[in-house]
Amino acid sequence: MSNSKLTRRGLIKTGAVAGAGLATPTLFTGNVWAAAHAGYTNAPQGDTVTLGFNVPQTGPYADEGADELRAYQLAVEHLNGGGDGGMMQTFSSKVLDGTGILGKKVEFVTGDTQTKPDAARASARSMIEKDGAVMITGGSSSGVAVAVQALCQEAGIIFMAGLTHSNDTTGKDKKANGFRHFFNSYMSGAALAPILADRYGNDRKAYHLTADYNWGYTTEEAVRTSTEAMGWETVAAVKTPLAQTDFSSYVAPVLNSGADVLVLNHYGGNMVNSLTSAVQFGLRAAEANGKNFEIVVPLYSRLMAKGAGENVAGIFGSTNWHWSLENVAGAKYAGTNAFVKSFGEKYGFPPSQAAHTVYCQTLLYADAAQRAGSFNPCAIAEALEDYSFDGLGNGPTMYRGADHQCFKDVLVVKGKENPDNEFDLLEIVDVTPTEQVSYDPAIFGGELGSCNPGA
Amino acid sequence: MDQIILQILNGLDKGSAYALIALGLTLIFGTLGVVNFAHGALFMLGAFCTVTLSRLLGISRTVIDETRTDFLGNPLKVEIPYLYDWFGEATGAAIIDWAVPLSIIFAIPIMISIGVIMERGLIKHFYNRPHADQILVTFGLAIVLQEIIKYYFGANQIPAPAPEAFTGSFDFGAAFGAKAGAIIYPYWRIVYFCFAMILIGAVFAFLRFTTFGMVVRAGMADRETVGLLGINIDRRFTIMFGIAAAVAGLAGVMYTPINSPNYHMGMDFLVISFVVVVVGGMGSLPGAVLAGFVLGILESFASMREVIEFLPGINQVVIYLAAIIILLTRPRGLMGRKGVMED
Amino acid sequence: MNSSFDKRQNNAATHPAFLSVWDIQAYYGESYIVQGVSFNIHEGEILALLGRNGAGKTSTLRTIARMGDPQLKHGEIWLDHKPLHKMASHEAATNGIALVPEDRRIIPGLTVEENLQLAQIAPPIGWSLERVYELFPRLKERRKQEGVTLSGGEQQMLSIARALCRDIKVLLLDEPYEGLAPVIVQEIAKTLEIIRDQGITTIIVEQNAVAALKLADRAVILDTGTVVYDGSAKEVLEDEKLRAEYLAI
Repeated sequence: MSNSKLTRRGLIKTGAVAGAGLATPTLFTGNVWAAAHAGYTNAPQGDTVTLGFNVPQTGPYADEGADELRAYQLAVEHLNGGGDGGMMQTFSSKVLDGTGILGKKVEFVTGDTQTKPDAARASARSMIEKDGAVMITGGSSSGVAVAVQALCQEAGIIFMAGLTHSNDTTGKDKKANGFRHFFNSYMSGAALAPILADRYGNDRKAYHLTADYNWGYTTEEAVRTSTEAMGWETVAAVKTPLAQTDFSSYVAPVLNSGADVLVLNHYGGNMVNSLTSAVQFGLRAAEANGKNFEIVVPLYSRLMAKGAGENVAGIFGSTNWHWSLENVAGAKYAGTNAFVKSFGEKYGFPPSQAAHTVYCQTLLYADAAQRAGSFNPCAIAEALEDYSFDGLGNGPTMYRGADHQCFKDVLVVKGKENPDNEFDLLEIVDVTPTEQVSYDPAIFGGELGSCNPGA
Repeated sequence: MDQIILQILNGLDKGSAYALIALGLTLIFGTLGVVNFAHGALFMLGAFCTVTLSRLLGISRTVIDETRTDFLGNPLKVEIPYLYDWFGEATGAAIIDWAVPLSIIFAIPIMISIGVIMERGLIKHFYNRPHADQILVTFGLAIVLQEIIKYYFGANQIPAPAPEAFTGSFDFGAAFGAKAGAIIYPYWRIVYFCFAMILIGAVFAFLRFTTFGMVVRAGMADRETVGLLGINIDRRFTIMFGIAAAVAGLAGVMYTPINSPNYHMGMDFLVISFVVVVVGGMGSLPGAVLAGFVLGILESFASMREVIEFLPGINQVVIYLAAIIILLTRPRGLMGRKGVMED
Repeated sequence: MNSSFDKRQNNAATHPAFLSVWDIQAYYGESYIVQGVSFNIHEGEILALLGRNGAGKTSTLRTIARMGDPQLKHGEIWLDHKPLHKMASHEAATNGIALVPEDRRIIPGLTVEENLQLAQIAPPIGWSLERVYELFPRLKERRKQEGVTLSGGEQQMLSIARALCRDIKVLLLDEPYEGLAPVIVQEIAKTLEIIRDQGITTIIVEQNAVAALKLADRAVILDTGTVVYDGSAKEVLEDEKLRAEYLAI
């Protein structure tokens, strides 16, 4: 990896300052304002532009973070004209030509969010203030995303969210400087419920185990609302701490609770542990209420599936994207294979949905800047709002202006019973069309506000 | 009622880990008078002994299988462990399958050595320093060890599954006449509990029935007088440190299928283990074991849905609450000797 | 018999006695307790170390036994040509010192027999268990009992027996009669006589000065950490003025 030296240097620099940054208040100092020439924060001088990649390198979502970083580095390579261009070949917009963005070479710095909002804010602030990042992107947790998004709004920086699934990010916590490509809990619920009702019947009793933070809550709510609409009953909903590693005491009571479906509103390390516990306690093989006991994992990822091993067999969930999408569902999802090939040849394994979404976000940002002719956040926001595009692996997609959320098809996946190899763990069961997962932006409340260029 | 039994079983399991770590902590505190905040790291190192052995056993050569393709459409590269070549596929797979129990043998000499090196290299310089110094130094050591592991093994959990024979669960209910399927408990967790009891028993037997053990007991009770009898207790205490390290390490080895090892597991267990030691009575070995199980069961009960509904958030604080209550009413802990740690 | 000492010159190296203590100064932290004590003992002698409360008798014994406190900051101790002042307590113990402490220090959690066995782990070993049980039949009766459950007198016997289990050159007895009923004191005294007859060099510190003086050959009297008298035990017994001034008896 040719960029590794840059990454480590940036990380050490950022990390060393992050500690000091934690102590200072969140208001910005005069320096940033003073340095804001041309009317917005960190306007790139010279012939380079710096992007800030804020990913979890430790904590329960560290796996996703590592994959995000790989995808970011690939995107930068492609933007600067290297490699095989990846999804730039299939992207519907052709304004990017491999000469960087607006003629400036793309450089980057990285930070460790540690999957904790405070640490994420500190590292983002450091990248903005010390490294002159003109855009912050990344993260695998909605708690982090909401926190960093708010920080970027204050600072006059664009935030291109990474993997964040909670409704809040473009719902009640939406911000004008923030943009999310990844789907959300509502869409998962809407996509999953019909499939679950179809496979498991309408007369089911669900027990929810939910990660105790904003993503957990909105996912639980989305699944409950959509399944209850199909006739399911929610027997119980228990919150589990995000830092929890041993879920045995939460799983143990499930079998006797009267429920016959366990919904795990968990992600990353949480899901690996809770699912393993559930299987160890015999839930998969059990019967309740005269039916087979089932487990549902509303938000899936292949990396999690790898961690959980054969425990995922037969378990339903949803994802934003999967590397086999174009092969399974056709040319509508062009871009998938190009990205898989590009990523796979460089790193030796297929990309996860986390990698995919952040790669798309980087390209979308670059494309918006190119089309707007400027890095000014307001110009970029205008270029992205209500922008329709295709060729980035999800089929036709629209960045809705009312809440800065992308709308596209959603995948329902299932753990394979007999995987061929370690990347072949999930199979796509259905692709739910965009219309079925759309909603009125008003249902989540929140105020978008106006864009903040920082000057 | 089933719920209660289930949670007791759960608690015994977690409690076993706490008891083993607390046992080692108390041994070290009782003999060397050192507060060892690196003990959780020893638990973590034991778990990573298992990971290392699994990796060693799994060292493979790559073979290209033309008949299958990988995700990019290229011929699939298949890994064949050298063990398969040496012992045949069946035996080789069995050995790899049993990596976790085999790690016990692998881990014992490693953990004892690590313990001895830690003690001779670092801890012994802090025997007569205030406890605050000891805490700082050992905590620093714990962080260093943690970061070393994170550097070599990555930040993610590394699965270390139990042998095939122990996957699945035991239907307690059916065995004891209750409703079938009411009380189900995974086999490996039962194995862990039994293993912990054997280990605890071994430590106590060692202390009671061997001469070395007698010297250690004497040294824990009255170090000064043991010196008067011509015995250089420091040397024996070094070995005791190694043994305590091995106990913590073995607790970690067998814990891997229950919770996949990650670099942070030492810290997760450390704080609670200290609470256990203090609640049990610092310097009391039976107290440490008892408190470990009691607090494990308490934690388990506090995670029950009914309890959380009644007292939200109780699951996260119950152990500390219990510690506060016990220490306020009985400062020397459950089984501590009067006057120990009341300075 | 008055062996005089020249504090400016250490005779121990040139005129070796069996046990030579020269100008030892010992501190408990900042407290200066043993303020330059010197005396010589010849092999087989019994020395009574006397003085009022707080004179520094126990501290002197503990210093000779090389305990952690009080700390020896100046002076030398030579036992049979070996420099004890350079040793830690366990090393001093293997070189022939045995201290029977004031509070007996029977180790809890161990039986009577285990307490004795503990004494026989580090070389050089002295009396065998059989021989000890011969001299202390009550200990034999209680051999499997936990040591700390014995009566005061029995604990004292155990403590002495423990010392005899080692091959000792000098026995340091710190208040062996303390807290014991007169009838028990008699028993212990008899035991000490037997030990004396075995020829074991002994220093005995005792509040009950008369009992100690009856047993001893020589006496050294301490007052606030310094030696104020060094002579024969008989003389002290007979000199009323001496006794009144320094011993209040």
